[in-house]
Order: sequence, then structure tokens, then C-alpha cells
Amino acid sequence: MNWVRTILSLVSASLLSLQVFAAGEGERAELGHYFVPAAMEPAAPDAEGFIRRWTILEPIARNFSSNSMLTDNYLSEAMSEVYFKDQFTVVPADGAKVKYGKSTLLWHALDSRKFFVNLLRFAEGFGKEYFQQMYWAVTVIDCEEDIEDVRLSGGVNSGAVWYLNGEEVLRLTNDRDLIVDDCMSRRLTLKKGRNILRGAVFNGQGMATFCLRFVDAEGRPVTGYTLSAVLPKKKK
Amino acid sequence: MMRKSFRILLLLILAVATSVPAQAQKRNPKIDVAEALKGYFRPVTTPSATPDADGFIRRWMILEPISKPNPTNRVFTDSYTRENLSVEYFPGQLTMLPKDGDKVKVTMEYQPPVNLSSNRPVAPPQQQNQPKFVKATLTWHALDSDHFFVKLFRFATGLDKDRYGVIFWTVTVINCEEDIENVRLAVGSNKAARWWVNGEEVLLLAGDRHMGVDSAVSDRVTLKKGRNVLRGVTMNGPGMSEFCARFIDDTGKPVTGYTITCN
Amino acid sequence: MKKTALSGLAAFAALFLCAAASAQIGSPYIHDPSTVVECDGKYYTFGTGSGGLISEDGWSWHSGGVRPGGGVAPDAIKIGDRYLVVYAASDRSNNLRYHSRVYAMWNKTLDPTSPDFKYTDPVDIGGSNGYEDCDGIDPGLMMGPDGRLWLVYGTYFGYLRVVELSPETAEPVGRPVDVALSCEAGEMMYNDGWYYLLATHGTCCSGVNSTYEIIVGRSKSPTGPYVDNVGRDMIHGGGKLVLASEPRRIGAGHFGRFIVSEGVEKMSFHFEGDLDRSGRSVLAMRPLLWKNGWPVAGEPFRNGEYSLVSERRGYALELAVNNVPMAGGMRGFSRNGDDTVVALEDQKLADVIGTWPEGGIGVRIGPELYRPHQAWEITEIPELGGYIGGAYCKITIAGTDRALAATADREVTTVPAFTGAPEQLWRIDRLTDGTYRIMPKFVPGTGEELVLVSVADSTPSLGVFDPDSDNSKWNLVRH
Repeated sequence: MNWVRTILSLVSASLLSLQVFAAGEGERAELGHYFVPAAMEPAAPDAEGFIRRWTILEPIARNFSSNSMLTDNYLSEAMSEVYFKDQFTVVPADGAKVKYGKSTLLWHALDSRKFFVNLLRFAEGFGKEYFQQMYWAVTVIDCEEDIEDVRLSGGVNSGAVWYLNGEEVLRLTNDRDLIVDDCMSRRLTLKKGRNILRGAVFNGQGMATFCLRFVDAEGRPVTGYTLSAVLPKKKK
Repeated sequence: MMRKSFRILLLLILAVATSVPAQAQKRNPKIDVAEALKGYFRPVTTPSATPDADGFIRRWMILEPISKPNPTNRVFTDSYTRENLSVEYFPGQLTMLPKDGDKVKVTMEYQPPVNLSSNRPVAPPQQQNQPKFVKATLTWHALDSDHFFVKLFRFATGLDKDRYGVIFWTVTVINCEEDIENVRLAVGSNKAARWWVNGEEVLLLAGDRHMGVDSAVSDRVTLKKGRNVLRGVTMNGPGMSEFCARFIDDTGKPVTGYTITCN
Repeated sequence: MKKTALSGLAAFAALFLCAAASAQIGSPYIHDPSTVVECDGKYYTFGTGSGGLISEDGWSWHSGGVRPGGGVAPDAIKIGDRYLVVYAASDRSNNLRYHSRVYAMWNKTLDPTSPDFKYTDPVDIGGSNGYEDCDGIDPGLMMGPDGRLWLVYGTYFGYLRVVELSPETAEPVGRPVDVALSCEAGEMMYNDGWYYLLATHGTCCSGVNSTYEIIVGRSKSPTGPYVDNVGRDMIHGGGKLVLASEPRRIGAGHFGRFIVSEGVEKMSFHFEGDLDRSGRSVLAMRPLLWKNGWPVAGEPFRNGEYSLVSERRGYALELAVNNVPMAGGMRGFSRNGDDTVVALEDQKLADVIGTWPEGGIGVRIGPELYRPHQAWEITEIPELGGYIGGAYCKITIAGTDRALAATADREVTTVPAFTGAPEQLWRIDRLTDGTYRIMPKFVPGTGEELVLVSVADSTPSLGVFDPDSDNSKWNLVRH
């Protein structure tokens, strides 16, 4: 896709300097196979409406052995805990830090190379544990006008809770697989101006991925908005 | 099954005479058979015939109908059919091979002529308390059907005979050059009937049934080398009467490798 | 089969395969069964761990299959006069969780008692390197209509991949292609111009708490794209459900197709948890139906009272007895709705049975009136044996012991009492079009396989099954 190439050319200098993103020829799948750093310029959803720009927090360990444990109750209880300050309101900048227990976790603003976000490879790429983890992700959606009657639609491996402008709109429970349009929210309005889409993804064992997009009343992807991440000035 | 036309007639209580010729109400002893059965049958003029391309047997000796007033077509249960088609109406009815023009004497239940203004018998048979029996002399006719089926009703009306509540005896001869094994007699019949191959009953057709090709078939039988006699008797109530008959092989395909003579 | 539970499961499998061997006659305990393969009149399926199940008749299964190599989720296929068996094993050295390889081996027979029984050495034919988004287990084999052999493998960890194999050596002859995301237990099949990719979604290996379910997409090419019924590519997680669970059996997975003959197909799979068998994983079979170009899991047969309706005309099999009129009759043509409406009772067996002869009574086919002489009780009798997909049944007039039976002159009749004789036992196969084939276990005096046919609208008989003829097909209409 052209915009990917544009981003790639724009950030190529940065990329080359970031060993963590190396997309080497070796057999190991590096982070660069899955993500590039989020560009400064706003991005559009991809042609199928998938949201590829996300600011993702390094994973928080959760003690659950099986994805079958991701019941409604489990997700409710998990999301009622406080993990870090302003967890439901913060719009984190790339590189921002979060204190969680004794550890310090970083937010990373990324553009996924695929229609879905591979959280396992995200964690692995940053040298983190990737089983029995919770992943927070935030993106900023800017609309020129209200976009009414849209649904947030997604799939996840394995469970997730998503919030639009602070309100829970989509919950994916139990041991799910990454399926496009597996679950959808009720009809929502993306309001003119800034909207914040935020969520937490849980995975016990195996692959950890999610995909999200907005679809209109006919199920067609909504693409008429932009996505951005907060980047520190040094990146500009 | 009540014919739709009867139902409409019942509903509307039509008492208006139809366009059916009035002469049909009178018995006419001198009838030109070829002319009377035109469109349905032709008198046999050739020594032998073959089944048609679909295997249907079109050459038959047919006896003029024997009156057997059946009040409705619902009466044709297995036992009623068997009982009433087991009555000896004339001597040798299960063995004789009649010639064209042969006559048989029968004693049969009287039924009044059809009142064509209602298209039904004047006095429905079920309203007769005591059946009245009459003697009659009936004639065998050697006929080739113009159709794959044998339109018994038109045979009766054409010859100015009773058309409802009657019994038709039919017989034909199947001539085979070799044994033809594992064939089935396949009959579509309006209405109840019994069929025999070489004197052995192979089919009993009960119920208020209609003529469908291969509606019912016999067990597997052998048409033996030489002459085989195929005999059927068909009984109706009010309404149409007809049958179609052929032999089919084990795959359901028509059997055509034989000739048909009347006698 | 989900990798995460592998080690524990393998140990468990080994335990029960050994410990319960003597109790497995008629006990189809298996996890991740391969496609069922017939060899010299016996049926075989292999599962995770070593070994597999054998059945003499396709119904009663017992352990005894031999497959070396251990590992997980094998598949098997007959190619020419040899059997190709593939399985997968994972190498967890170097702390790699998804370094999994598929191995192929050949055998001239699957019968371990045969002198020809000898597997070739296993050969690595593909898999995953431990770093990529693929977990090269759960191999599935398919021979295409053009004689090309295909292998699919993979799990929820990334992609399912398809690669072409040499039908002579089973070695790969092309590069693997990603065809599906986030599924496992892949299997391919070809039908009527389409390639189908069967796989699973849901949780494996959790017994009665599994949510394993079989899904399908189809493609015009064996390498995809495989698209589901709403147009979703399986590489986007698409998939049309084939089967998830049935009452008391939970978590369907590891699809396998078994073609009995044209028009008669079965699907084999396991249920992760069988509530009637201690929640264990069991081999299961269902009729495989085709509907609008999609495979459908036919419902399991259920004992009950049915009309046996001929697909030929729609008439129903009935005793050749008088149709006894019901009280009442025609109520006229009035449209007056003021009369009190009363429900009339069905005609009952007791109303008519006295009019029936006592000995053998023939059968015929007539318009369905839901009368006692048309009501057939179909009852499986598992102890009298079975066939692939089911147990033989007796077919009796409901409320009586009068049983449908095949006769020596290749006709069909009823006998006054069911004796268990083989000519009174019936095999009932759901056909791919959803109708049924009804076949006596045995027809006296003939070695032919014959089925109940409508040789005429009103006449049943026994004849050779013709999948293209409605004469050979019946519908079971439950009362």
C-alpha cells in the first residue's frame, strides 16, 4: 500500500537506527515484520477500515492459566482493578512510562503492518513475557463531522474490553479466535473532533492478536476519519 | 378423492343440462364401434402389435362394463376390492381367451341411466335399500388404444353403456420368443383393480387412486417363451376410469421385446 | 490440537491407552482422530499419542491401531496400494514453543497382524521453525481430483499453511502458502468444483469445557483463498460452522471425510467431551450432507416414530391393509365459524389392529394420512452390530412388534414379530442430499447389496442403490 511505503520512507532513517525493528533475513520473526513506529502524520484506516495505528503499553502479567477463564466476570473484575493512573483517560505519548508495581512499562506508538495487531510479537519484540498477559492499547480518532450509526467491530485472540470516549462499547469474552467482525458494538456515533478508542486485550497461552474497525449500517468499513498517536517532540 | 368438478357441481347445485348429446341417455343397440370409439380406440385390424416405444400395451380385448354400483370412490379398500373383484360374473372369467364379438351373459346390479343434468346417477346407489339384479349380454371388443392408456370410461360412453360404478374385464396375450425374466407388470389405474399374469394374481390396486404411469408394480415375474396371458379387471365409482399397463425391467426401463395379440 | 496442552495431554493419552486397553472394545476413545481409512475390510483411525482405533464394522471401535512416532494429530490416506500416515512432533529445545515438524511414513497395510505391516522411516515434510507465525502440527492430507496431493498444517499460533506433496514420496513439491488465520486441525476436501478447508475455532483439550468447533471455507484453488458463506476469507478468520456440539457431546474437531459410495458420505471427528463416557474424548461420526455447495453435519439418527416417505412421489410406506375410515367424515362446505370447534382424536392402533391379518402382511406405499398402518417405529439395536456411522435398526409398526423384513425374492414385507434375524435389521444412511438410504443387513438368497426402493409410486421393493434416482431415497418424517 502506498501509504505504508510513504511512512516507511519517512521513517526509514529512524527504523534503521532501531535495532528492535530489524526485519532481518534470518529465520527469527522480528518486530519489524509486524510493526513500524507510528508516523507523525495522521493515518487513515486501511482500505477495509482496520485501525492499524495504536499506542500499546508493554504487557501486564495476569495470573490465568487458560483462555477459558476469560469469562464476563473475569473481564469485569480485571477491568475494575487500577493498574496505573488515569488508565481510562490518559492519551499516552510514545515512550511515556507507567509505574506498575515495581516495574516500569513503556507505551509504544506503532503502525501495524497487518490488518490485525500481533501483541505476542509486540511483547516478544520488546523482550517481554507474552503468555498470561494483559495489553492496553489506545488510539486517537479525528472526525471532520459526526459519523453516526457505526459499530465498532472486531476479533481477538483471546479476550478484550473496548471503550469509546470512556464508555465500554465492546466486550469479547471467553477463548476467542481472531475473526474479522466476530463481535460488534451497538450503533455508536463517532463525534466531530477527537474520539478516544481504548481497550485491554487478555491472552493466556498461544497467539495474542486483535483487529478492530468501524462498520456502517450495511456492514461496510468506515474509513472517513484519521488516526493519530501522540509522539514526543524529539521524534518530530 | 372427490373430483373438483363434482365439488363445484355440489356447491352450485347446477341443474342445467350440459352439452352432452341427449342420445347418450338412451341405449342404442346398433353402434358403429369404430365411429363410437373414435379418438380413443380403433378395432383391431392387424394380426399382432408391439408395445409402444415406452412399453405400453395398447391392444386389448375389453368386455363391455358390468354394472357394480359403487356409491363413492372411498369404498375401494383392499378387502372391498378383493371381495368384489372375486365375484364370478361370468364363467371362465379368469381363464377364457375371448374373440372379438364373443358374448357373455351376466347377472348384475341394476343402476339407472346417468342423469346428465347432474352428471351423476339419478338415484345414488347408497340410497337404494335393496339392490335389483338384471341379466345382460355383454360383448368383447378387440381394440387398439390410440393412447398409451386405455380409456375405459370412453369405451363405456362410446358404446352407450353404464359409465359409473362398473367393472371392466380386459385381457391380452403377450408373445415372447424367449423367457424374459425379472420384469414387473407396472400399472396405473383409475380405480381399483386386480391383475393376473398367466393366471397368477400379481397386483391388487386398492384405494381412490388415479392413473399414474408405474403407479404400482408387481413382484418380479417371468414372461415365458411363447404365449402369456395378461388379464385385468378394473372397477370404478363415480368419475373417470382408465388404466395403463406395461412391463418394466429391474432398472425401471420399459420392456418392449415381445408382440401382442388378442387371441 | 492446541499446543499449550500438548505435554499434559500426551501423558494422559498414553495413560489411558495403556490402562484401559481391555475396556476399549466398543469404546472409541481417541483425541485428534485422523481421517478414517478402510483397509482390507477394517476401519482405522489414529490419534494423538501412539496407536489408534480399529473397527471391524465401522461401528464398534477398539484400540489396536499401530502408529509409531508418537506426536500429535495424525492423518492418513490411501494412495494407490499404499497408506500414507502423517503426524507432527514439536521440538522444544532452545526454548522454542512452536518448532514443529510434520513427518510422513508409508505402509502397505494398516493391519498390524499382516506380514506386510511395516512403516517406512518417518520423513520430515514441512512445518514451522519456531520463530514464524505458524505451528506446524495438525497435518491434514487431501488427494485432489487431478491426482495432486496436498498437506495442510498449523494451529491458532499464526497461519494454517497448504503445501503440495509428491504423491509418490510425500515430499513437498512447492512452497507453503498461508491460507487461514487463527484456526487449527485443518483438513481439505474436494467436491463438485470446490476445494474445502475444514478447521476448528475454539478451545481444545478442555474436556467438557472445550469449545472446539469445526468450520469451513471454500476455494476454487487448493491454495485458496478460502472464503466462507458471507464472503470472509479464512485468512481474516472467516469460517462457516459445520458442527460444534450435540446434546451430551461437546467440542467437535479434527474433521475427516469418509466416502462410503457416491451419495453416501460420513464425517469423522472427535467430541472433546462425551458426558455419557466420563467426559472423555471420543471418536464420532455424522452423515456428511451437501447443501448449496456447503458441507453440513447431518443430525445423528434418533430412535422414534416416523413416516417413511418415498422421495419418488412423497407417498409413505404402509402396511397393505384396509384403510379403516375415521369417524366423522365430510363436514360440508359451510364457512360458518359459529360452530364450536372440537379436536378430533387421531386414529389409534387399537381402532384398526383387529382388522389386520395375523401373519405376514405385505407393504406398499400410499398417501400419508398419519394412520397406524403408516407409523413406523425405528429403533437402533447397537448390540446387533452396525456399520460405519450407525447401528442396525429394527423397523416396526409403532405399538407392535410387527417388523419390516427383506424377502428371498428381493421384495419387502412385514413379519408378525421381530426376531433379530438379519433380514429384519436395517441400515439407515443419511445421504448427501439429506434423504435416507434404507438397506437391509441381509437379503436371503443373494449376496447383493440391495436397498429399499420405490419401484413404483405405490410399490416398495428391494433394488440396487442408485444415488441419482429418487426411487432409492426416503425421508424420515418424525411423528
